Amino acid sequence: MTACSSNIDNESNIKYVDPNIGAVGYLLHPMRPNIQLPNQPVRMHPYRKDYLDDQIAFFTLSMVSHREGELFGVLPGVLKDENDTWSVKQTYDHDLEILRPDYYASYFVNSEIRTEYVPGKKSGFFRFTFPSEGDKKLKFHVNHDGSWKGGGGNSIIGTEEFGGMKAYVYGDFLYKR
Amino acid sequence: MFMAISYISADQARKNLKAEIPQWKFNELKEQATSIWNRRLAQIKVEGGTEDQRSVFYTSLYRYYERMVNISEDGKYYSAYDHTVHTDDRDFYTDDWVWDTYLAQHPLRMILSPAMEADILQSYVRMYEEGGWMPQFPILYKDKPAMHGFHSTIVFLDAYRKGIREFDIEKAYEGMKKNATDATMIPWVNGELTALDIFYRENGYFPALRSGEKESIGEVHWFEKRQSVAITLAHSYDDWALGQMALELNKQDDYNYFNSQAANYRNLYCSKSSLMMPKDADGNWIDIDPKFDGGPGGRDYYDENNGYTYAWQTQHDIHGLIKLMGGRENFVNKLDNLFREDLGRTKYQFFAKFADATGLVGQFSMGNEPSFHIPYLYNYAGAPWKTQKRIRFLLDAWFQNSIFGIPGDEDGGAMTSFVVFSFLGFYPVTPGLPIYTLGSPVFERVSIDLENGNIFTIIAKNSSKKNKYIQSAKLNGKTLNKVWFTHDDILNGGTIELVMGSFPNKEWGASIEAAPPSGIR
Repeated sequence: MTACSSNIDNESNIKYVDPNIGAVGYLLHPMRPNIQLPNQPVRMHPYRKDYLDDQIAFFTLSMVSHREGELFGVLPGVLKDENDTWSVKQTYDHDLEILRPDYYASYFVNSEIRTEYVPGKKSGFFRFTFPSEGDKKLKFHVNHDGSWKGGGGNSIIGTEEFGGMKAYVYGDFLYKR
Repeated sequence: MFMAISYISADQARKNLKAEIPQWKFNELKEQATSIWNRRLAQIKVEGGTEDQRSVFYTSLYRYYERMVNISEDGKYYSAYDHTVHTDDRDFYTDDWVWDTYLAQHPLRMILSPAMEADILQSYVRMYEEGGWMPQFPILYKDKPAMHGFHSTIVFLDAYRKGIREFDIEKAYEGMKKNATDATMIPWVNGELTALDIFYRENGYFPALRSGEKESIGEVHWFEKRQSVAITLAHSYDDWALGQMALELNKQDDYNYFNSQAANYRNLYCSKSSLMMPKDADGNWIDIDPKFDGGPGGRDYYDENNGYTYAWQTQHDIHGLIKLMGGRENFVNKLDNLFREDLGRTKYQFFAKFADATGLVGQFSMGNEPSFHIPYLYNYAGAPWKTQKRIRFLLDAWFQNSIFGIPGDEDGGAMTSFVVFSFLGFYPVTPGLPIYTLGSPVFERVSIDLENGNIFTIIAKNSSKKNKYIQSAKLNGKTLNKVWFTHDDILNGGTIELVMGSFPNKEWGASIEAAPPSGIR
């Protein structure tokens, strides 16, 4: 703790924001470290039980509503041989994770994949950096009745159905060596 | 991978993507997101406090922005209330739990983003038009029948009185009144009137079952039960708000009726225990242990919290409650006792039944919404220094810069909005009255940039962990002896100057005239 100072730079208050505050519930729900824009529906968080969980099941693309479940998900992995179970959950390093409202980064210690993310309003941008070895994979999740299919070119379309309505996601990919 | 969602169609999702991310420029998008957040977070500027306090404060402000969320896409939105895509130039918002958010999150938005709040209220009107009921828990796919109360009525009144009127108030009033006259009050149930609702209107309280008595009303939720005391208190407040709205709209008959219903809470005040207690259908008190009875979460009589918390749920008439409790001195003693009263059992016994009532200090629970206003009630009874002491203690004890820094369910901005207000040093105890009561500002200086171009400033000279007591106060340079100020004082870009010190000034704000007013005169 430091003493007060009068020359606080209030133009970059984002540096004070820590989405991990309250990330473990005493008895009830943990705070989800949402990466989002203010009052916008696309809320991404690394899906795990809470901060104490050392594995990420997937990155949510959005959520139905607050504490009403996730919408879609993606998890990167590397297939090293045919029996590899990369797609189950990925172990991350708490101290290599960067959580801010406007930016996310984490590192999977076993598969050596780095994930980065920035939020838009109805959109989001993931950047996955894979190790040079191994078969690079993305696993796509649905959390309700739903499916993924190709959308032409490098694109993909996901659909989920819940509560009498549908959500759609359109994704596009760019590969860089 | 870049992606966008839509609730309209896959093709609309593709359009949303092209509109927002025309190019593959990660860093540009990042800068854009950073600047959007920094603009929002700079709307409130602070000086003073510790690094940890600034972290808790600005993280709370970030949490406040989680929702409601704007689901308009290209001037269209999908409504789950009639399962139709509507064209509307105005942004449509969803994702709200009014039981939680009428207390602090809506009021905070009315200060920071009144234009958005107006859009939000018009979204409520749209949902009423599309679905036939004015919602309480509008989430993406329906009005969830969660918790209890028709508290969206309070939000409408609060906004209207704070000058937010860019929504269809007559249509909104129709929806609010329909809730009060045609919808059941039974918790976790949406639908038509039941025998219990008719009983309530005839007798002025929700009847409870005696221990062992079987539920005879089929509509009552098997787990949520009747919550008879909580229902009576909640609807007293809701009917007050509806009556006040009627008054604003010159509907005198409605005002007379609903205003009379606002006093129903008095029917359950039990002077023997000084608590709100259950009555059976014959009007007899049911003798319970208000610390522990009522099944899981006390739901036979209360909701998630016990009788010690529900004793204070009359925000629309605090002075009426003071009178019931035997005057100011008794009221203050009872408040003190709330923070000191023993659980009467081990924590593990208590939490096995009352898991939502976390953040305990005595019988007081910082971890759930019904408690938010309670520390501020000393201001109504001549002991503002005790509000200053309690609120700073609670912020220090339960809202730390840590992974354990939220004492209960935060509820999508509901609880952190209470934290934002409390750090700023004021709080809306009675949403529906356009006033705020003073707490103890954590920072030495705070300024809020308002949408109308004015700046509202609070100076708390010497404020620190020790210097938490208000020694003297000024509003716009003139001595302020009251412990409250108005929404207009904020809108006009007023300045509140406090001098803080380590020892309480027990005289400041202690007179009867200094207390904030009740909603019922």
